Amino acid sequence: MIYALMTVGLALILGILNIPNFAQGEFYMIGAYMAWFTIGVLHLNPIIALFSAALASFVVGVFCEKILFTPLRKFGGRGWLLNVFVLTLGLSLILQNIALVTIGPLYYGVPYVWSPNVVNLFGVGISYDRLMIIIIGSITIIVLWMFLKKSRLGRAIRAVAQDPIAASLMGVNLKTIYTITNGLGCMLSSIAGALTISILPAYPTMGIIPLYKAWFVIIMAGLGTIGACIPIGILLGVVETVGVAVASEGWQNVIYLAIICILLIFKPFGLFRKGEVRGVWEK
Amino acid sequence: MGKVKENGKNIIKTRLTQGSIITIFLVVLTVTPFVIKKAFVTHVFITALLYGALGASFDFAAGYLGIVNFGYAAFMGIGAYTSAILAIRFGVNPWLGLLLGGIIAGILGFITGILTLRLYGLFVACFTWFLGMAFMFLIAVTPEITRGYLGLNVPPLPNFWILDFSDPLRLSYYSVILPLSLSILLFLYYLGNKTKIGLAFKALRGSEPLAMASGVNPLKYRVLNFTLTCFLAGILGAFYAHYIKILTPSLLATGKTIEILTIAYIGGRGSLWGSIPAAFLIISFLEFLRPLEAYRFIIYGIILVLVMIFYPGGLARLITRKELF
Repeated sequence: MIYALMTVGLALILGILNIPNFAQGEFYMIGAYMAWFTIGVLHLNPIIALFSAALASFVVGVFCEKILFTPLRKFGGRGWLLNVFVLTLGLSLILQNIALVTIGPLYYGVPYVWSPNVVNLFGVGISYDRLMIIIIGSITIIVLWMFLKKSRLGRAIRAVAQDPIAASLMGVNLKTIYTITNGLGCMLSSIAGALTISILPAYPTMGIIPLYKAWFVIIMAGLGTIGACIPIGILLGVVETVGVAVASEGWQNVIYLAIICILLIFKPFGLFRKGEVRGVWEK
Repeated sequence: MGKVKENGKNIIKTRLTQGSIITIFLVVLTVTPFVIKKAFVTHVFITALLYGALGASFDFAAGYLGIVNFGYAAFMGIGAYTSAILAIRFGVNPWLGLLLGGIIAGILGFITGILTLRLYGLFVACFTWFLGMAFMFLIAVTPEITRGYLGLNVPPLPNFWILDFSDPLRLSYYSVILPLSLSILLFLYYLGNKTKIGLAFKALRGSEPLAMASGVNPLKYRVLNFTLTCFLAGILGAFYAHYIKILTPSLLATGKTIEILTIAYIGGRGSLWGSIPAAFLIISFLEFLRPLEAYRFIIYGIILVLVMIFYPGGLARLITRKELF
């Protein structure tokens, strides 16, 4: 579920802004730190923690769009994709080390977010926290889906994803859309980070693992297919767990990386995408 | 008429100044560590040259063919581990190990090149990234051969002629890496700019269908490029192993690729030589500002972001003012 959330954020930014965002993992980190701060230090309600995490990274995301990506759009002409990729590398370095300087290299977590109890669900014991992760993750994705499908702004975002120039001719303000989408994408990974705070403690370089798993899902689903990311994200979680059960610890990474490599050889455009149609990112 | 003459003069003049700049640069490069004689300075010079050469060969894939090999550090690490394991388990002379490390990495690069033929752009980057990660985890989970995260102790290069590799100043390492990286640079520059092969690479970068229509075989050139760049990464990686003397799987991690990529990009894509000054700037910046600890990475990140926004062409573009793409 977490992978699904993270990936939808990344796919949104990649699909609409054409930014292969390497700093996405750092927004995950921001979310985790915000959750730790509100729950672990201030002892507030977890709902407030989620909202504050979402808001904080939305603001940072908007800020990044305004001061980094907009000038790059103006100055950089060709090779946009790689330029912006290196730019997000720099951004990820900055955010990581700001966290290192201000908060320090220690691990910060909370013992539980909602309640320490275990719920008995159809004969299977599952901790209350993990259940809430699934529920809130699903709610977030459904809300996002409704927003993209039903609202006026969501329709504008999808229009820009299809063709920015045509959308701007129809009266869509590209700058606003870019800013909001970037904020949204960052917000989603931040929510993922905040949700898992009781399972994974927060530390400065925590973003890299969810980041490459999110990339893994995106590639497997096929670039530009936001909907397909959700089942693949859940599938990845299952494969990983089965991998740990079958082989010894550590091998699960080798196994699924090998799977994706083989898959890419036979289905170069991902599972859910027909070939031939190429986006900007494939040139 | 007068204008043409003036242009001709200018070309000769710029050629002369270029030549003298390169000569001065080379002399400074050769003499400085031998004059200063401080282990720290030598270390900075060796690391900078190593990364400069790595950046240049990375650039040979990214800047000439337009393929970002995001698992580049993994090929370097494979070269390093090959040479180290051969030296420890089978007593193979590390000098031969340098070559063998390069060859093994080259073979893997050859296979990767074939496998990525159907992929484009970002997919290639991700494929090589995942492959590199797979190699890293593979090394981490086979501690009986590679000692995994415990770290593998590597013997230094054996003494050869007047070169004494147990010298704490490590000047002899410098006298190996200097000709090695400069000849790699020259070779790549020659291959990329003076031969038909380089022309084919540039054509493929511009437009693959168009290049194919003009009779350029993408299969051949892509595989050639992959093999060559991975071979060079393997040699440099093996040198790195015998220089640092300890290997851990983190050598193969994404972070190392990012360092190389940053150097190649700040140096200027498609320029090759830009990587050397960029490596000197970045490595000395990071090494001399060590007391600042984490703050130096913040400054580094900010510089990277600013360079990307205002000078996407990098250092080479700044100096020559020539359109690289």
